[in-house]
Amino acid sequence: MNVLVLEDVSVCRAERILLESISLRVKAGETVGVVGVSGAGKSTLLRVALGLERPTRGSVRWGEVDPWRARTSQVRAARRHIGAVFQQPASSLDPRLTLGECVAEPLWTHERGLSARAVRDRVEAALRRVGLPGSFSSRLPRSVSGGEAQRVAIARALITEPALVVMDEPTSALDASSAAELLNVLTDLTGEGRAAFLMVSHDLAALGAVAERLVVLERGHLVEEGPTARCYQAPNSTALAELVALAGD
Amino acid sequence: MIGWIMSSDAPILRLEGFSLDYGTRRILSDLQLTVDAGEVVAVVGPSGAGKSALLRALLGLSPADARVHGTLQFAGRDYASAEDQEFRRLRGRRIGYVPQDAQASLPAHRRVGGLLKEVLLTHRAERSRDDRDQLAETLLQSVGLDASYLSRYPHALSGGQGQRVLVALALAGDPKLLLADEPTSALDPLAAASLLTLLAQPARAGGRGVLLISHDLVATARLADRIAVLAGGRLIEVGATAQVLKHPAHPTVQALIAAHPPLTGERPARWPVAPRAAPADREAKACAFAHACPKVTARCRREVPPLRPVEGRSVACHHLEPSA
Repeated sequence: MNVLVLEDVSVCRAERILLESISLRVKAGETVGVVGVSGAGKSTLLRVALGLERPTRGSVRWGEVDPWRARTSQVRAARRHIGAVFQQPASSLDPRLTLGECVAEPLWTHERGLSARAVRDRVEAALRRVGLPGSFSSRLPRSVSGGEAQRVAIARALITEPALVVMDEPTSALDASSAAELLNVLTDLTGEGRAAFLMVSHDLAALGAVAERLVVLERGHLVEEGPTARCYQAPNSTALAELVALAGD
Repeated sequence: MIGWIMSSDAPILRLEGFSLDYGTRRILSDLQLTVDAGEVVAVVGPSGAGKSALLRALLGLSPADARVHGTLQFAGRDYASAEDQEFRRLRGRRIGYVPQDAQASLPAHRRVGGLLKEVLLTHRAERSRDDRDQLAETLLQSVGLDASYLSRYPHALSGGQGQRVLVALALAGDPKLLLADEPTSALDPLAAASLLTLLAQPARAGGRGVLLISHDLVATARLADRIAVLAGGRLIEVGATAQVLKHPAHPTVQALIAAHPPLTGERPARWPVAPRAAPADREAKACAFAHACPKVTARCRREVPPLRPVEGRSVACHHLEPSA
């Protein structure tokens, strides 16, 4: 089953073509990496996947639901199956909420009526999945490191048990040790197969650690797609070959 | 304009037994580091190691409760207890600074040309207006941007172009030392590689000293002549780049380099995580890695290892025999 389908998607804005005829499928439980330099269209692809950017041409589907054509109630119901993790952990958590409240936020929208006890259990289970103790619930965002904040953001994305989690450069703001710890968490999560992950990054090593399949973008075009190991050992596109050469020095 | 008297053999920057406290908190301990003319030195370390505090101290921009101990010299002159006035004469003119994020550092309502000419008017007031206008163009060219960028606003620059403008602004005062704070962290790998080449230029061609700060040991540091690894407020290994990257001596530096495995596309079962240093502490009586080091001995828990010469570089580890 596909959790995300992009069919012949193009996005044009002010006469600039940001994405051109992109077709992409993400199957349940799989992890797909999206790589490319700045301006290649990675962030636009993520916005399309999240239903935040309407394709100028082509269609996007979450399972069976097209967020731009289905009824509002259907779209709202489908939205709980998509989680998002952003690049800057510090700015993605509300500084006025405790980390527990941050993680519980999606439940207020998607699963209203849960008892306080049930919310607490769900929050603690989500924190455990990203390797953090339940005691984090009562702390404030400013009291934790960037790597910990990013793990909290992942716990928040996971709390509704989404079918797909979309991640924009989750490691790029972290130092080597925090990034390595986060990659270990992601390795565990992607290995569980409970959710599919679509991860954008220009860190090939990070993508190599978690993605089974790679999609390479260049100036809005999909120029290469394949199993990550094959792509790294024998890149077919110059876009990927250049990045591999830089990373291999 | 008062000339800057430089004795020919003094390094552009020299730190000797340099420590920094914010109030009662220790931030940096006992640093030994030099930057020579024509040299690129990278200070690399994880978040919280004290990298940004070091840069602020070198610019005279530490918080009011900061106290400096030891030696801080620019071109042989002592600045450890310098007043703000003295640092003001250094900043921009003697020391150029490249901040981390162009979009956050460039005022959004000013054109690139206006910003450059303002810096030139501040630091090169002796030149004629025509000279300065010409200089603005030359500076932009030196960072690979043509004169059409003079009329651009910051929002119309890509990440890499913004960083290039910051480098041009930092060079406008013709400084002897260029300080760059994580200049590539917001850039993709291609843009980062070309910016690093550009940052090395002032050292290679202009005889300036360049001090780069980064958390990315492998990618950023490969353009440097020397690498200084900072952890927990102390330097733990300082040496020639090739030597440190290929044959690291300090166990933690070895672990940091192991955290950058070659790109095979095979999914590692476990990503190697380098141990974190204990926070800087004035009363420290142990190696900052004693809690996590596999080689730990009683001595590591009793005594802070000093930075000592080991096989052509400097390393702070009790397990390595100092060279004669």
